[in-house]
Amino acid sequence: MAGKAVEVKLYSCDGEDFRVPSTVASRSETVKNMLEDTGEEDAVPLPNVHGRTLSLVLDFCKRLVQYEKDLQDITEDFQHGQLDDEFNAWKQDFLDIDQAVLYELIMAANFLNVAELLDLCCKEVARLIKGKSPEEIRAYFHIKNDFTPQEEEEVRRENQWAFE
Amino acid sequence: MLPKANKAAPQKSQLTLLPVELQLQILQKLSPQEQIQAGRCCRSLAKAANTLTHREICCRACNTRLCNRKDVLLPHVFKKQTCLGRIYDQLNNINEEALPSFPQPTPVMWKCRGLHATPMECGKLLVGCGSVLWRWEHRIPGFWANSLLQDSYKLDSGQPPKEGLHYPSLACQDVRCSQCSSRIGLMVTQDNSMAKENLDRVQRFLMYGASIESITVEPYRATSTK
Repeated sequence: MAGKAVEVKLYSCDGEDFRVPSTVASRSETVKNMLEDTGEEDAVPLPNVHGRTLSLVLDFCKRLVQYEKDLQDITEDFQHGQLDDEFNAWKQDFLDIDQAVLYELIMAANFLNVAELLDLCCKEVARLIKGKSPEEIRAYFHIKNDFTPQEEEEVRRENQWAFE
Repeated sequence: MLPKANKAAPQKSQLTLLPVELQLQILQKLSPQEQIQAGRCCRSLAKAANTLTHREICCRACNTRLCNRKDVLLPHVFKKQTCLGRIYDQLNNINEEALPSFPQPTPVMWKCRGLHATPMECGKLLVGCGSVLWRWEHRIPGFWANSLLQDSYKLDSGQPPKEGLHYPSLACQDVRCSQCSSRIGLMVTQDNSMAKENLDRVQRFLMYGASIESITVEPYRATSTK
């Protein structure tokens, strides 16, 4: 019988603490390195990550760990696709957040070095950019056009090939 | 459990406030065209997009540092490395199904789509597939089939052509720009019978507006064998 997973304590910058299995926390390379340095009994402070963002990151890590465990347990090929579908559906739900949170997640995933989460969030932003004209992108993301008309024309001219 | 919010954008763009390396990671998920579209939004994204499309590339033959500027790219043989992947992506971003299969394609296979600034304006188009190499050199006068062949040998094997070693039967096709009638260059085929087939291929490559105005086919004379 497997022993109980070791729990580690993480502190967010706004003082929230989270107790999670070390297998989950270690999905973050940053946390994993800190745990290796300090030991699993010490609380890990994460001064760059807010509690609400850390909560999301840990949700993702938990689900990822679960997915990988499920993958190891499958006995039939068809189950692989089923697990993928379930995980993809979960990720879609997970990303149903507003843009501000999405960017916080990107920053947190980058700081915590959770490659899968960073990739997922970057893909999501890319998905939101896809198929939009520069004007539409600006409008959607509230981007201020800081090009001078001359610069804008130059950029357009340089990249004309892409639109022909 | 956090409440789910809708995907409303914050009033100030946080996309452009992300560090450049993160903007890069986002843009890398887009196609080259989409990267450019994003780069046209503002300076911050333009910088990131520009970084993506101007990766460092080294020449395999002479180790010259290149970028994907159309005027310096093609005269060199690229070192196949990760950063070159994007160039390959761009070059390979062509409808594969629209192309005929190449005879024994090798890893050195360049196909063009849009790396040149405007179609045939610069004429920098290079397609190599081992034994067949197509190249258009709009701005290089006196571009002879023989030099093309030498280039192709160099590209294929890294060695200059040996004397007397040439393709057995070749046709040179003089391709001219449809806009200015300048001679674009030559297309070398393995034999005359392939000329029509290759012309079809060229037409497919010229899907970005240019068309071939005139083509003359004449037998290839391998001068260096004399």
